[in-house]
Order: sequence, then structure tokens, then C-alpha cells
Amino acid sequence: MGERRTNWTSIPPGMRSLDGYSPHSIFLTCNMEKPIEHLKALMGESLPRCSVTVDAPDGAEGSWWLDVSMGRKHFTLEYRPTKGFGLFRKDAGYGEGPVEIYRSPERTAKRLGQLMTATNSKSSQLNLKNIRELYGQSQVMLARKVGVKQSAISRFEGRAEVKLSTLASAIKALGGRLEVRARFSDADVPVCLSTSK
Amino acid sequence: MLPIQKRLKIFLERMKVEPPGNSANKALALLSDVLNAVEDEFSGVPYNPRLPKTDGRMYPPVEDSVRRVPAHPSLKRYRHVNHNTFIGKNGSIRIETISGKVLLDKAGADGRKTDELDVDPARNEVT
Repeated sequence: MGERRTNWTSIPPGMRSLDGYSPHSIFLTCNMEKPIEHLKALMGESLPRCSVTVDAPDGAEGSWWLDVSMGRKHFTLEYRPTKGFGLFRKDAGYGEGPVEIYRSPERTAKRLGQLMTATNSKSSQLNLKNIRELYGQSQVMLARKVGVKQSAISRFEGRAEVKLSTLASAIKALGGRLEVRARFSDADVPVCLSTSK
Repeated sequence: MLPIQKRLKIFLERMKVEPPGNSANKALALLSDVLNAVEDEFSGVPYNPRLPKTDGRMYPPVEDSVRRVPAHPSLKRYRHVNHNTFIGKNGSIRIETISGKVLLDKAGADGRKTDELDVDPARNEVT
């Protein structure tokens, strides 16, 4: 299969496509969903050099795609009014779903801020430190909630391998719930974190 | 189980040799059937399109991801994260990466490809 280009499209810089749509014109002419407008405003405040282009669906209830760029970094979000913002792996396959989901523009903007300012690919992975910061908690605040010293949280965040029950306690203190699942070709099952005798 | 890039390659190879559909609906159905068959065979992940997040499986375009293509009423565009899929009313299918690399350019039942629709043959311009 060659890479024959159509000669009847105008291709926006950095966004080449058969239909030659302009993300900018889409942004100007569509009724933007309020959460997307809010996210754009938040990104503009926290990362002024960041650009967000919106690929709108025919129907407002459909999937909106947001291509977020800053310098050489690029991330893609899918916004669905009923589901929130889905964040994708850079190398996501054809028709693959998002790896992270955020219900609010605020949390999405914070996560994008982490990703845009990460110094290497490993620091962009979600670990307890990143999750704690996403929820605006210092080590001291989290330690108080878990009932341990700040130094224990610090040590925990620095470990290469973590104890699941400790991680579950920290996630619970942040207001979440840790789930571990096992996937097989014919099953998808939750794994219990403790064995009760 | 095969990695996703190999599965995508198998899907594209199978699509090339499938008899084309003669309408947009048939083209989308063909694409969905072939992709789902490849994923059933090689992904090791059960079909569950209602999952909100990735399960490692590829899924075909869905109707709520459709976009009109300006000046090309015979085409529909379906957006995925890293791909655009164009479906022509004659059953033609074109899959491009977001950066514009063409992965599949399959003619419809009338022999025309997506870039040959909505074109005035006398002037070679979009009508």
C-alpha cells in the first residue's frame, strides 16, 4: 500500500488527513461542550504554551477528540459527555480504548500538566506520588489520613516494588479503591488482595 | 496471542482481499466483521465493546464517532485515537494514521476509491 496523497485536500500543518479538516475552524464553528471549554481554559492558565485542537463529532453526544500538544509532546483525549475524558497511550492500536479516565476537566488538566512536564517516559507513569499529587495531597496530609509518618509515605513512594495492602490503604485515604484483576482469554476476574483464614 | 501491531497487519491484509461492499453500511459491516474475527482469533481478549477503557483489544468504528467530510458528501470519517477511517457511499474504505500515512485504500464495488468520489472527472476537481 503506497502513501499516495490526495491532491484535493488542504492539509492543516501537523494534522494531515484525507478530509483536510481544520481543527481550528471546527473549534470556532461548533457548539463546544462546556467541559471541553473548561479544560481548554485550565490548560491555558497552567500551560500557556500548550495547544488544544478539537475534532468535533457530527452530533454533540458523540465522541470529541482533543489533540493536546506542547513542544514535542503530544497526547490525545477522547471526551464523551456520558463518560468524561479518556487519555490514550501514544502507541494505542486501531480502535483501542483509553488507559486513563477522568470525569472532571480539573483532574484531566492536572494529569495533562504532569505528562507535559514529565522529564522522562517513566515519570509519566501513574504511581502513588502522581496520584497523590493529582488529588492535591502532600505527603504529610496523606500520612495523616493513613495513620503513618510522612517518612513512611516518602519511603513507600521511593520503592521499586510496593506492598499491595499498603498501596490499597493509601488509595483509600485519597478517596479511591484499588482493584487488581486477572485477565484470561476466556475470563476477566477480580483478584482479592488479602486471604481470609 | 499476537501483539497488536501484528494483528493490525493481519486485519489489513484480510481487508485487501475481501470482496468490497456496495454501500457505506456494508463497508462498515465488512470492516467490523473482519476486525472482530482477527481479534477473536489472535487477541486473547473477549469481545466487550462497552468497556470504558482499553482491554488491549481493537474495536471497529462506532456511529457516534462519525464526522462529515467537508465538500465530500459521499464520505464519512470515523475518528480513532491514532487513525481516521473514511467510508464511501460506494463501499470504499480508506484507513489513515493521524499523520496521514495510508494503511488501507480499498475501492468500493464500483471500482472507485474514496479519493475518486465527489470529483468532477472533466476538471479533476471536487464537485
